[in-house]
Amino acid sequence: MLGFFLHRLGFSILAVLMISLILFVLTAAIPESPARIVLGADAPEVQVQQFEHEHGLDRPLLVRYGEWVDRLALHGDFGTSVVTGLGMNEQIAETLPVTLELVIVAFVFAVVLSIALGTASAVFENSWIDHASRIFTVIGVSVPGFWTALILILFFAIRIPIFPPGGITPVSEGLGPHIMSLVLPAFCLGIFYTAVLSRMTRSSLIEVLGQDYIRTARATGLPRSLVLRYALKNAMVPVVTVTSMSFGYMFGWALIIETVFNIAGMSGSLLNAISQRDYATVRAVVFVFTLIFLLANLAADLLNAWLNPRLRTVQA
Amino acid sequence: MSGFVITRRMLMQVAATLPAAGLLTGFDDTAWAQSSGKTLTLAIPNSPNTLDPINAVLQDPMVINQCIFENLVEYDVDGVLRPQLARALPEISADKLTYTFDLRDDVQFQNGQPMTSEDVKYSFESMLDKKRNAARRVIFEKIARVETDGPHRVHVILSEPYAPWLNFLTKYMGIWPAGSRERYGDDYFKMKPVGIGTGPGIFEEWRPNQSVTLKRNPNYWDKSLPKWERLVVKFVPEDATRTAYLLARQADIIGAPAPRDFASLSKRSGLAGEVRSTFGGWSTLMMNNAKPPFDDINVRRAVNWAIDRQKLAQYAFFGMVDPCTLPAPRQAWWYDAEADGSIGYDPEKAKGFLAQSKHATDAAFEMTLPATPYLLDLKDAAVAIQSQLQAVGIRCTLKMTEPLVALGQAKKGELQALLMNLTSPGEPTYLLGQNFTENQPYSKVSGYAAPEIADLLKQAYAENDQAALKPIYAKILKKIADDCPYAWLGFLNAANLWRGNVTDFRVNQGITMDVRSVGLKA
Amino acid sequence: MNRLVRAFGGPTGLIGGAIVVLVIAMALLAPAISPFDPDAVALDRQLTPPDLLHWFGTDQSGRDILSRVIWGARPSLEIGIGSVLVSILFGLPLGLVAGFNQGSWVEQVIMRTLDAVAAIPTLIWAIAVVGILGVGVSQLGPLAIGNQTKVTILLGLLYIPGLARIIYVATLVEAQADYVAARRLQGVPGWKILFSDVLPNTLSPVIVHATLQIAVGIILEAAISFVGLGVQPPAASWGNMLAASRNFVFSGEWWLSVFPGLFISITVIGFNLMGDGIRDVLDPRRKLTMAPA
Repeated sequence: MLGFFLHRLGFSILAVLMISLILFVLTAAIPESPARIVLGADAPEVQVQQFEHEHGLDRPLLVRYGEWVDRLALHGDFGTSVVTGLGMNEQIAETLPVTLELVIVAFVFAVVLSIALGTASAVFENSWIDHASRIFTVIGVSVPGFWTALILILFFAIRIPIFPPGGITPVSEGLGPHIMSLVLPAFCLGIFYTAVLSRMTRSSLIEVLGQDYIRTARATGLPRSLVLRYALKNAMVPVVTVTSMSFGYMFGWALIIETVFNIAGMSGSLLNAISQRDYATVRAVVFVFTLIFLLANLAADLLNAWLNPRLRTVQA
Repeated sequence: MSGFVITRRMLMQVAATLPAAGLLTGFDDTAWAQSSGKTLTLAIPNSPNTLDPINAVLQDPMVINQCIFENLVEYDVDGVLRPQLARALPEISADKLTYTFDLRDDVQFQNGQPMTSEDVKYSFESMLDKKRNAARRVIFEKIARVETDGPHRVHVILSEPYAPWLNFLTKYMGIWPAGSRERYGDDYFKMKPVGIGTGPGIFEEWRPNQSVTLKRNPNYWDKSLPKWERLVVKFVPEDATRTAYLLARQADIIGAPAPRDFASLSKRSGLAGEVRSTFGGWSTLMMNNAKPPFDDINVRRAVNWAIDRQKLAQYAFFGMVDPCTLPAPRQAWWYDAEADGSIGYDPEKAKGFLAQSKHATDAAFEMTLPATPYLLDLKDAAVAIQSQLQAVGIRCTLKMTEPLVALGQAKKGELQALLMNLTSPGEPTYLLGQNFTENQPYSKVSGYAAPEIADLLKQAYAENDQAALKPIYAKILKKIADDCPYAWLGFLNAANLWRGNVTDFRVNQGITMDVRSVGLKA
Repeated sequence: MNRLVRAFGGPTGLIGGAIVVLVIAMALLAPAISPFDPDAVALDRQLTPPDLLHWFGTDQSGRDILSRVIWGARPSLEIGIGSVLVSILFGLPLGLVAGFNQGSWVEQVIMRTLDAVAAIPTLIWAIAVVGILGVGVSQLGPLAIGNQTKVTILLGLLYIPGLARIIYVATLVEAQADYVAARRLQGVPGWKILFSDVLPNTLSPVIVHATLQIAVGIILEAAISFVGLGVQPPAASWGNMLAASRNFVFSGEWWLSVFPGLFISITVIGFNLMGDGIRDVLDPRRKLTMAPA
């Protein structure tokens, strides 16, 4: 298991390096100089060159990449944005926890609800519960989250003011208000994945329940709940991969949800950076997202290997 | 499974309730009341790039630095110049070069230090210091030096007559203690300017992309102000979310309300709203006169006559733009009815002009417009203009570009036409000079520089009296009406929506909200 | 009729197929069936609720929403389908070659590279890259690339690893089959076996995956449009119509958002049902293909 872990880890590090290079090239090789953005389009060429020199922007791309990796890997330092003059580490430290909390809450919500729905649906296959939950899953994957969000704000923040219409109330103003402010955004973020995961749980469980060893177990008179628990454990094996990958994907949709609910998470940093042409910040934010995504994938692999020992040798 | 049921049922409800009762009824008993009647909360679209007034760019977050920093004189919400830290408007010497200000003697900085003429002198000198590279230095460049004359009197001496500088103070300048820039550094001014202003609000906290909080300055020179204990300015870029904040009492006043919502919301009980014209916001189609097809004056005339400004203002801007054909809104003192009336909407006339041009059969151009709106979204207007031009035979394709990129390209003279909102202090010279005289930031955007306009502007700089200025502007406007360098859609209106318990709030003609004297009813 | 139902893997698959066929037909026949010019501005008819003339009402510029929904199907489908085609164009050969050269360095290089690219979160990268390139036309040498093409290619590139892996796995299985060994013994060159024997047998999982991925693309287009980086006005796409309608939700013009939203939902449902159905027919063992995004 350790060998497998090290192998996956080594590979992930390789992937990080490769992706970071792509990312760096994309965000650094753009035609317009950050100097023009800071100094204005009408700044004289001399001033632009001086600015570029001061900030080391006139050096070869690979040298700058090396320096960026070096600073990041050895000091965990994303540097300072040339455009805003703000330290990116502080900016990430400020916004990442917000996004992280939202995604984790939405993720837990999606996982719990999807297992419940998927199980109910599989156990009572072709009953009304199954039909209702299948219709829900189809709708859940097809209705864009931001639209649901606006409708929910309209009804549950304005018409019936149960929840705040946007923003995350800080914990310092009370745990209750804090949780209330998370409900709508987490729901809108989680709904798509609830649909995806409950659908997978259902079909996987139906497959397992139909297998001989389960039927035998039932026939020998084992209690229903015990059989179900056993079946569920087996059924979750394939679901786990997609579940942990969903965690990574959720950060992408969090971007949209944060915009609608005006949540000061990473999305604000990214969209602001894009509109300010602040490529260094775009790079830092996207890198952090990618890292999280990679970790989620790594976790998926490890979980899978743990649940399914055969995989350890096949992959390694 | 609630997802499906709720969404669909809600849609049915939306459909059912809308036409009849109106959707937005009965919001007054919301549970999300403000925590205290003493905190005034604003929601505006943009985050500031800095709190330092000499580098501020965006108009709406300037509400923050204008509560922290103050100036000798200010441009009030009605666009009238009046004294602020000075006792009265300045005395101006006969040669129009020396401005003498008598300072109030009861002003202290937020750190308790009294304000004197030395601080005023230092403030101007530090802003003008080339090494500081202040974004707004260039508009104050004609200040040659500042002299103190006792602790409460200063003379500002210009190198040549330049009356408009007073108008620029409110937005782009402030007074801070002598030596403070060296002591604290410019980043302190940018990020946490505590104690160095004279204004009613003391900086407390900045949560990036989220909010800035100011607390009441107990030693403010106007003892009756401010009426709030705290001022919270929230940054809410989404129009719909900003509206939601107001309705759910997460904000007392919002800036830049969604045009479509404004009309219905401002009439709702428990809410108030006002829209008023500004003198400083051009909504204009900037045509590059150096590039075909706009190198032919008849094409520019055709464009000007093809655009139905009334209709645009009503339907594309929902009343958030005051239509006018020239850079002079109807309410402004420099408005000239004759010049304004010399351009109008008449597609037949437009066709006639087009027929006379050398691009009669092939008039086509690319209109660049900002992909992300600033102050007011122009996309719907662009689509409408496109169809109005089409009707007279001018083909136009739209190109959405990020505003900063578009401006960069335009300033290099690369674009054919740019549809844009431009802002300035509410006086006419700033934008005219920048666009229609040589070697200015927007000279290459217009590709048009008339020596006649430059001369007339120079005359205007030497006048402080509106009566004397009016005939000068009439000549400038006539020249512009003749040459049609741009096609103006109108002037941006400033609009706000606020809750009924907000007192003494008025929409500012200078676009930026002014909340220094605003209070809240319990 | 029964045969048709079976071909789509059951009645729901058939419904899905019917939806997809109808939507594609609607997009293709747009010029013929659209009642109005989708871009015809009529300011004084703005925001009219649905009536007999404008079945879906009009938008803020007075344009007919039904016509825009019909024409808007084109970019939405083009992005959804186009991106999948891009991913097949690259992913198919890569997966085939890697799978057929099991154990060699070729396999290692291809699969490790693809695994790295697979670690790129789609939506964030799509938004960031379009944001960096800008929504205007980008010049790539002599080619002028519009924003829609940009989004399509970008999504397509990001889909490659998922698709290639499916082909890779299928190829691995096929390459070990007896008939391949037999063909090899007959002296048939490797590339010929690959394309004439292995390829056809790997296509079914590809078709299933592609169908489901199209649905994902349509949703992604809406999301990218929401942050203003999708299909640019005045052209209509379902995503940008829905995005533009968000300022009319509170003021009550429900028809601006409901109709494009409905068409996105129905189309996505259609592709999903059809994909499920096809999978039941072609690939009954694999139950779990649905891709998150």
